[in-house]
Amino acid sequence: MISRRNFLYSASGAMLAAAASPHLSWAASDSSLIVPGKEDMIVRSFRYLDLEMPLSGFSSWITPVNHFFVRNHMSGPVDFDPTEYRLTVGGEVEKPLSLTLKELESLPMHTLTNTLECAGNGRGFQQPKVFGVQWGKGAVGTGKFAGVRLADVLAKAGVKTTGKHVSFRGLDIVPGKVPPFIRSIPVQKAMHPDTLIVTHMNGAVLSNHHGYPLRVVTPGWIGAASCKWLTEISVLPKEFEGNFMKPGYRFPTKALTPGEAPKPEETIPLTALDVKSIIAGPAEGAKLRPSMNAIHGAAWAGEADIVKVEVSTDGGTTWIEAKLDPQQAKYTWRLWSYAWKPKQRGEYTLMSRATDSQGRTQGTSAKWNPSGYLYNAIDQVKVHVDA
Amino acid sequence: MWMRSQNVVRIFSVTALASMFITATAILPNHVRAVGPNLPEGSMKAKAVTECMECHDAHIIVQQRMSKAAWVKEVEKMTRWGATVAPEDKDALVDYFSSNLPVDAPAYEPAETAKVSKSPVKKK
Repeated sequence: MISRRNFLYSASGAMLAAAASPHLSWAASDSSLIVPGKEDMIVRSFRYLDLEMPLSGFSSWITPVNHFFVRNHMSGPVDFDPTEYRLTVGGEVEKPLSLTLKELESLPMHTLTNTLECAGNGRGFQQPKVFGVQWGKGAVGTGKFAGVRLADVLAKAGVKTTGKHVSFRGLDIVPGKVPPFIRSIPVQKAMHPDTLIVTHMNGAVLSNHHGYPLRVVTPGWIGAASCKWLTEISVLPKEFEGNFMKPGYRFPTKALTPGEAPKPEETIPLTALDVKSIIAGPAEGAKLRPSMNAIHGAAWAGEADIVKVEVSTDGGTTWIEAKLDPQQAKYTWRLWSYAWKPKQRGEYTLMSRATDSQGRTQGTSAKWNPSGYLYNAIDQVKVHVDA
Repeated sequence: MWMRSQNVVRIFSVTALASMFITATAILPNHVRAVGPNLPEGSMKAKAVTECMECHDAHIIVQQRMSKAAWVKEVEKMTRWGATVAPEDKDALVDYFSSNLPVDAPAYEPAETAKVSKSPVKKK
């Protein structure tokens, strides 16, 4: 068995037929990739590892770890001794800390179910195209997390009144001249009882892919606010201003026309997720029978709750409310379904549109931004109904 | 070098690969860093392999569909982050990417990870 300490992932070619367009034969993925602990994931990048959940993952309220998306800006730690691991807390605190894992685990444990979504999920649908991982629908998943409250750790250190933001740094291996992956959240969110430093996911110790031994879970916020391999917490008098806060992971404060660049002073750091729904089935281009078909998917809204999901089978002319699955918790997605019996053969455009408890509803297009963050346009799937 | 590595990888049987996976260590070893898609042919391919694949594999590159102006910004960003691109190579490198991966190129079809549970995994 591969020990937790000495693997992140390994590579090999497993002889999968090439599937790329003949026009880009040089780009064919001529091998599938073995990533221990991950199966049937869409490989958006192998180095650094970015894996997308397949559409089948939207059939489960809790996402199994082997289907949970992975997003990395750089490699995670390769080899460390858990007994030597330290979580430090410094900056604007009365008493800087250096905690062992045992000391951390002596604090009260709490659990949280949270839908975690990469800010760039859906970027591949953005028009015009923007640089970055071309995620489809599956850079999102729902996990049951367990750990200690960040607020309890900060209380041990004693946050000074000058402490306004809390930054996180993980054990990522920083390549070249790339800035380290450090981001901050406001102290109010850090002190919220639902914001955790987790050690467990879905009832098991965190896997390396998801930040073993410690990761932050900042519920309802973009995935980048949930630092993996957490080793350093700093309480700051103001927002951290490194690359992954500025210019990275920012959103325009004013509506832009597609392709337009915002003024830097008219952007703010990304925080909570927007309202969103996706159709997981039928798949794009599916050939269906004119019998009963299930249109199904998931909907989520960050810190807000999903109020309703509507489905259109006529390209958005009429909308019908879908059935929401009873499984729900704050910060989690709702699975939904709609039983559809097409009246006649032909081409259909299926759509889904979610509304949340803050009154937000998905629009026909996402709010344009040059990094393709928070893509949440009404989802569309074209299908063919035949005899 | 990467071509040789790719050929070595290709001749493994699935069983041998499973064995390799069992014994492999954490970081992606340099000698298999090019597993997956290739970069397009062209006079700047060698430069792209040397500078981009020092950190990345080709997946993240070949999925992009961008204008020349966007490729300029990306090459400049990666140069700031450690890639070595001489001023006289910059335009050619941008042309290489923007001509092979333009906005209207056919969509890239990504690979999937294997079903590990079906591999003949043995305990070490």
